[in-house]
Amino acid sequence: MLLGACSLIAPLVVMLVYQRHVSTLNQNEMGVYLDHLRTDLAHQENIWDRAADQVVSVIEWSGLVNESQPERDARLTAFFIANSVASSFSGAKLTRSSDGKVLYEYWATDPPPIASTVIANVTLWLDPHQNTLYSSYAKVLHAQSQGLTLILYRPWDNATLKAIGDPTVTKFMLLDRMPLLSSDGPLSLKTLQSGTDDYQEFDTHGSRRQQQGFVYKKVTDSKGQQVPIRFAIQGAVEYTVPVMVVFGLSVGLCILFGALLFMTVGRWLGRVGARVDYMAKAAAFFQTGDRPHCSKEIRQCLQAAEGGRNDQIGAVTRELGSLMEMAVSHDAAQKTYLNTLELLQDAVIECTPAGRILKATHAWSRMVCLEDRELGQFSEVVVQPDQAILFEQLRLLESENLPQVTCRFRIKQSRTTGEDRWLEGRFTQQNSHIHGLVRDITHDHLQEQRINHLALHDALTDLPNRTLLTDRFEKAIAMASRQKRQMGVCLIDLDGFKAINDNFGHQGGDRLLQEVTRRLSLVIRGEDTLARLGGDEFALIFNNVQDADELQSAVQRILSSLSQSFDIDGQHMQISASIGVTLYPSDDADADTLLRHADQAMYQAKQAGRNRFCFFDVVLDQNIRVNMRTLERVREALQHDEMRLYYQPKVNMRTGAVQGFEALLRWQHPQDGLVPPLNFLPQVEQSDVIVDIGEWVMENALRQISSWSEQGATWPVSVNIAARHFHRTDFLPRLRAILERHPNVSPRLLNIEILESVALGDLDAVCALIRECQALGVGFSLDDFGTGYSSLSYLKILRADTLKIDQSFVRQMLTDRDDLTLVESVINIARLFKIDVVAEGVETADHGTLLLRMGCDVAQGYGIARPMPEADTFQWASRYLPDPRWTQWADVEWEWSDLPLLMAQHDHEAWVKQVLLAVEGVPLAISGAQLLDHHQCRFGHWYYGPGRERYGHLTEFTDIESVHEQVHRIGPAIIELQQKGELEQARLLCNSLLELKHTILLRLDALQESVITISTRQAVCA
Amino acid sequence: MHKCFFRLFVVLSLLVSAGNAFGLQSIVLAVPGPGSLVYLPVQLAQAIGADRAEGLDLKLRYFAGGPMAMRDLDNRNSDFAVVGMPAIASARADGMAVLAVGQLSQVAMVSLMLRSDLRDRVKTIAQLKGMRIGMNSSTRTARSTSQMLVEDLLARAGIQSTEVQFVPTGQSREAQRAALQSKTVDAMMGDEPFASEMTRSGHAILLADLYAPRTSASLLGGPFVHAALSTREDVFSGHPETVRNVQRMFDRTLQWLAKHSPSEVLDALSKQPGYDTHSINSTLPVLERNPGMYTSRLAWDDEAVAVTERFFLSVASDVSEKRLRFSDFVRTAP
Repeated sequence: MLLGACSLIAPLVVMLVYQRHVSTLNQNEMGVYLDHLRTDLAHQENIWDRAADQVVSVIEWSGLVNESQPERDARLTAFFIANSVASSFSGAKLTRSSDGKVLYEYWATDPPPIASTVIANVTLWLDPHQNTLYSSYAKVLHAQSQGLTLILYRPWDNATLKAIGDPTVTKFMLLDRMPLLSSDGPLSLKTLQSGTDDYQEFDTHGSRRQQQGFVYKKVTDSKGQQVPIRFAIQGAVEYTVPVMVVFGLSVGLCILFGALLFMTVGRWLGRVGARVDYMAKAAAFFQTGDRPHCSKEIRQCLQAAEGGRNDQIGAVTRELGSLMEMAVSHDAAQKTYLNTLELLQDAVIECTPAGRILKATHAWSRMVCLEDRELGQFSEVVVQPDQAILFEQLRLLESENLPQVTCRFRIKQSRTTGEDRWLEGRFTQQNSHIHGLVRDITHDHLQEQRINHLALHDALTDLPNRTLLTDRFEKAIAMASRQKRQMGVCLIDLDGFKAINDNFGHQGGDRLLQEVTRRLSLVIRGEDTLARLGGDEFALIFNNVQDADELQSAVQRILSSLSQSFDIDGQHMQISASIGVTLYPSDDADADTLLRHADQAMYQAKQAGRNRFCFFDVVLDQNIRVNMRTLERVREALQHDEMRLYYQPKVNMRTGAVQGFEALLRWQHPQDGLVPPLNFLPQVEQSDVIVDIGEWVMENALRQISSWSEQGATWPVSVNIAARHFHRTDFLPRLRAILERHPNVSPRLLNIEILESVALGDLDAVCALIRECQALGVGFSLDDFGTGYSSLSYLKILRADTLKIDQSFVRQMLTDRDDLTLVESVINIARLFKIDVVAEGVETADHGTLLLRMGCDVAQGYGIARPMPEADTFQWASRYLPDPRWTQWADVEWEWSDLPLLMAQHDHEAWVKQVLLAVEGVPLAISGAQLLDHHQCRFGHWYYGPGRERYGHLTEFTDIESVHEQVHRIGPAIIELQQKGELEQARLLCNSLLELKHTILLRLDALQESVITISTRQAVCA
Repeated sequence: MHKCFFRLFVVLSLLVSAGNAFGLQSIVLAVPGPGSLVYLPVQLAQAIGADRAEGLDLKLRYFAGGPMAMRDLDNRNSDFAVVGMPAIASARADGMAVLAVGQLSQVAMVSLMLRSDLRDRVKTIAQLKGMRIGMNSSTRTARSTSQMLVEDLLARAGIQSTEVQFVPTGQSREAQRAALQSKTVDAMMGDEPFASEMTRSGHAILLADLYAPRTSASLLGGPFVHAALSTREDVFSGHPETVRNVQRMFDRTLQWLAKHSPSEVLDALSKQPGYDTHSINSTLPVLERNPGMYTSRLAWDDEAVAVTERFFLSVASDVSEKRLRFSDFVRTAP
């Protein structure tokens, strides 16, 4: 069959190679033809050029062009006709050389459309109508006719092609891709293949032909574009020997060769095959038999295969015999080795990576309690949980290419003892199988487990000890974090356990602990961890707690359970428990910290009366930490001189004199810049650092007073002293010491400000301390007066030198009548007790004006000056001028009954301001009635109420009403425009409103002037 | 469903038909002319669309005479030619592998003109001895039919061809007039309608006129194969179907010619080159005067072939022509 296939394929290959070879030869031959054609074309053009020269010579010689025009034309025509056959020029033009004008023209056929003025040097020209290509030859006539040029036209035709190049090949001329001429005639144009420039072979009319071409020249077509003129040649593919003959010969040769091969090699192969067959039989006997050393059949087969020859087959046969002998001896040795292995207690096994046991010593059957020689699979004998471990190790052995792996696994319960047996296997891989040594380690394993348990559990209660608790704690935290769940941590301490030990002895105490453990185990869930930390301390981890309430319920159950009496060995014992609880991750800390937090909470529970539980307060803890850090940082700031004193002046608004300064603490923080006191003082108020701060302030205030004194200014300075500082028993001696360190400063220039609330603590002690300080000359002020709840009797007892009205009241008094009343009351109280009063929070001149009219002359606030560094104080004081309005009313004392008049002015200003703000988008803060009705606004209430009653008789008062009514017409109009969105119109009306407001204020001023004048007059009369 | 298939079939059939109409086979044919009366059926075939009727697109190459047309055929510029039968024989004797495959006329259509200024000196053909006689074409190796007929006329008048000088004058009115005006020739073999035009314009007078079938037959001894269809041997053997189509085209044309009056024929030819009003006016009387110049089918008339063969052998100029037998190259169909 193979021979047949070769006989068929080989001739085909030979035929294809032959065709390829012939094609290559022909391709080369076509190249030669093309070269020949190119050369011949050039040669032919040269011939035609010479022919043209000859025609010109004849014309010149015969004098044809010297005749008169009609005679010349007739003779020239006759000449060209007579010579047309010989010359093969089909057209001629006689032109004047100077301008190219055509004087005469001859065409053998219809004249092609050649331009009358001919470009003489054009050598190729295309007749676009007939698709005929002409070669033109321009020749100057020299002899008798000066200045004449004769142009001769020779058409390219099939005959031209036939005449040039190799006559045995067909030649084609193409205008770009359009066939024009064929040397075999027009009908043969059909055989021209596309892609003329490339070599190609094709079949036509049953014969195989070849074709190749080239670009000859370029010619201008009818569109004026340069178009290539191509030549292509076509010829038959010549086979020296026909292809089918080659194929036939190849087939014949193959068959002949095959027959010879069969007759010679085939017989030899048959003999060799028979010998090899004997070898195979011998091997088969050896394999199937019980491997007796060279049985009769084997020997006979080997002898037949050897055949008494010393060739290679004979050698292989002898080697096979030797190999069989070696195999037999190897089997014997192997058997001996296996017998030895059978003596071992440990099992030697061979298995697949999938766990199927292939071979095993008898010890394996004993271990797994199988029948002798019963092997089974690991999955049948290894307990379920350990199968995964074992198979994973076997997989690793193969996938990770490990030298060996060791693992422990249990086999299913012994049929005799009913207990699991622990085995340890050490496995290694050889080829595709796994070999292992398996040992029974049940006894050793149990021993290890026992030791481990003792190391991790409390001996008395068998609960996890601290070591195991820590491990489980870490796992519980990790799991809670991973599963986004909460975890409760409890620390339980038994109340009264010491008494139990004392009364019932340690044995009784131990029994109680065991009973406590039992009760606790009953109230917790299986997933929770109960551990004994030592003594009477237990730790409890509640995994997966929903919320604090659930944890609280669980802890409550524990308390309830432990508070019930214990009856142990007939003894009645009663204890309780204090439990500290913290909840992770609300308390996001590590295991140790969580236990510590629980311990803190447990301590709080003990402190709170025992038999209860306390939750660890995370926020409080964090605040404490922050406060501690701040405290430490402030202490460092004091040490590093980062604290600064800023001074806010107190002035007498009536006189414009500077009454003193209040020293205000600032922290020049290296990173945060200037830090206000509210950012750090609250954190240190409850520590002794506040004492250091207070003393530092007093020291620096005294130093500043001294400095000002040296510059000629005597300004008292008030300092703020915190309650903790003030309440210290050593406050007075330390104050005295400070004063002594500044002997050149009068203590009277130091004023201590304490909060009203501070003074309310221990009234007697405070009062005594104030008096002792006053005895030293130091003044006292009650700061933020009005915010506490002091009674008039307290004020009388304290005998403070100054009351400082809290800035919150002062700031709001222009808009809030209650605050105004309060401020007025404080001023009256101070006047009553002959105590100086200072108003804080004066932010505008209006605040100051009102305070002045109410009788409070001294004030401080942003309206006067902001706190400033000590370096700026002197300069500020030298330039300070009080507000002109304060000066205006400086000499006037207002009656209280006239104060509403002052308030009315502010009410009106506030009303106008609300309307203006509404235009800018701020919600209107007055009611509709207040907006529309001029009786209902606060100014209207005053005007038509107490105002009319007191000042109704004055023309300055009555003049106000009409303007006020206008205000209440324009105000609603503005709001209406704003609500329609016509903001520009609203803003225009605002100007009118402001003018009206100004008018009212002027008339109020006039009214006030009038009132003052009347009052003064009445006083004088009185 | 069936309707859809039927419509599809109709559309495909129409497309195939349209493709065939556009897929005409281009045929290049060499012929003396244009406007020559001898070869009128050639231009008529084009004029009446006989070529398209046979799936051909006939392209004509015009020459001054038969020898040049035969040379064009031999040079493979054309694949067919319609020339005088003697010219075919001459070319065959000259070694060209050409065949005659159809007869188109049965009269020796030639006349002999004398330049008019010689009318007093020359009264008979015999007086042309030593003069230059214009022929429409001539080659050194192959003579035109006209030349052979003139030589025959001369021989009958006792003048050997070597005793006159033959000058090619071309196959156009202008060329022939120029030859006469320039006195390049003294006499001229004339094809119609040029001969009539020359005599009418006064450039020449007629010495002999063979257009009348009776005159021709009486002079030559029977019908004469003047115009015949020729092709090369390689075309005849390599493209037999094309040859048959061309034969059918001329057969169709000759039948049409036989059935239509001279004026209808000339109407059909009015848009062909060489058939301007002047030519038509000259041709019409010749056609009307001489009916039966053309055969009615493209079929060989054995008598005409024999007469023509005898004529050719009588004017044969060399051994090769004398040995030639018409049966060597006359074929009916491939």
